[in-house]
Amino acid sequence: MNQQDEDKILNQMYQAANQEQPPEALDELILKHAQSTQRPTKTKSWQPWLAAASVVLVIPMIWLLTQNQQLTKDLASHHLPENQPTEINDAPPKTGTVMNSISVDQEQSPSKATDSQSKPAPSPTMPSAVAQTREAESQQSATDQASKQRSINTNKTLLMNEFKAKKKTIKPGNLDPIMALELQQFNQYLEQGETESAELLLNTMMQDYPDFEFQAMLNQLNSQKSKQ
Amino acid sequence: MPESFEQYSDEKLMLMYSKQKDINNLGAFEVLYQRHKGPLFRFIKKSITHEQDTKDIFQELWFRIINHKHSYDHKQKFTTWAYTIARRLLIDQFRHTGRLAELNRLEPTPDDLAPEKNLHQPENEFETKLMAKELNNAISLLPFKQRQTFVMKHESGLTLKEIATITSQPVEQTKSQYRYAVQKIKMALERFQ
Repeated sequence: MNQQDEDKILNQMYQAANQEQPPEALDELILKHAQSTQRPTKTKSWQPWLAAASVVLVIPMIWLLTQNQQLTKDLASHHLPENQPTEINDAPPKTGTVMNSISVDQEQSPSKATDSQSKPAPSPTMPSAVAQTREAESQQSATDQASKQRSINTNKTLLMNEFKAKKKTIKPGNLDPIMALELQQFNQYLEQGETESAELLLNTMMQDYPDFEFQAMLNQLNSQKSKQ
Repeated sequence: MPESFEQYSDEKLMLMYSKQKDINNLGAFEVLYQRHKGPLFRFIKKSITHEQDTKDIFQELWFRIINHKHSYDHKQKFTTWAYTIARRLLIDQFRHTGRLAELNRLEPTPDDLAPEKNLHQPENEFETKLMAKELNNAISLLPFKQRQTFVMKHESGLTLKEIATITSQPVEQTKSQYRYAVQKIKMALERFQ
């Protein structure tokens, strides 16, 4: 028996005893994996386009966000008190300000114009708009101050009138005995032409009796002075 | 399973599966898998003699075939490529489980072997089954290198030259390994004479 015959016999015996197959679960798992590697080829073709689209969307959004933050800072700086120097009207804007960056962007990249159309658009008329805003604000503050003053004066007048209304008039029935004597003395001074003494006494009475209205006595004194 | 794929060689099927992005060409892989799943599974099982490790390595083998389909050289025989991957996975497994010494176990020299005797031809089906059972026992007792050479040859019909390529060793050494394996098996089957 040569080697080939032996191999043939051995192979027959080997095949007879060895027919085991892998479990079906493994078959399914492997075939499923083979299938999964075939599918992504179609979706992969979209990946470069998706990446490009996301870049196109994200970059303008970041730029817009940055510009909005700068604009907010710039507007906030214009709300400072009046004695601080304003840069937009009096001097050229500093580098890095909103207006400067906007104008530079517009000059250097005209292609961004389409992007800026969809934004709260920065434009070349922006400096005058800001100045107008500031002027209107200052005018409004002046108007506010005047109205406040008017209101204070009105209130003061009303309080004075009310205070006057509450003051007692000088009548013989309202006066205590001492005040009645002082009033008699005041009239005597006027009759005698002693206006200075009458004035001193009147001032004393005004201090001692603040609840009374002395306007009539003042008129009397003034008329006597004018006669002299 | 598409019947049209059956007519193609392993290499052509692998080419169709790896080059075509069409989902319909999955059928090429299914035919390839059906052809080789049994021999590769048994080769791994007889090499490692561990049920769960056999399943893990078998799955890993086919996943590698699938994942590296684009790197497959279509001039190379598919079985050579697949058994090379399988053998590497087996060696890795032996290394991880601390059985590497088993791979390098010294094989007996020709002097250790008994004088050659003719192989008994089984006379009926019953005797064939008995001898086949004894054959499997004898295979399991072979040293690793002899065992894998014998199994590769009888599972997938690989030539000794191809086995030498897979195992990265000289052809003469492979031939010797096979001859020693056959001699031991014949000794185990002596009682049937």
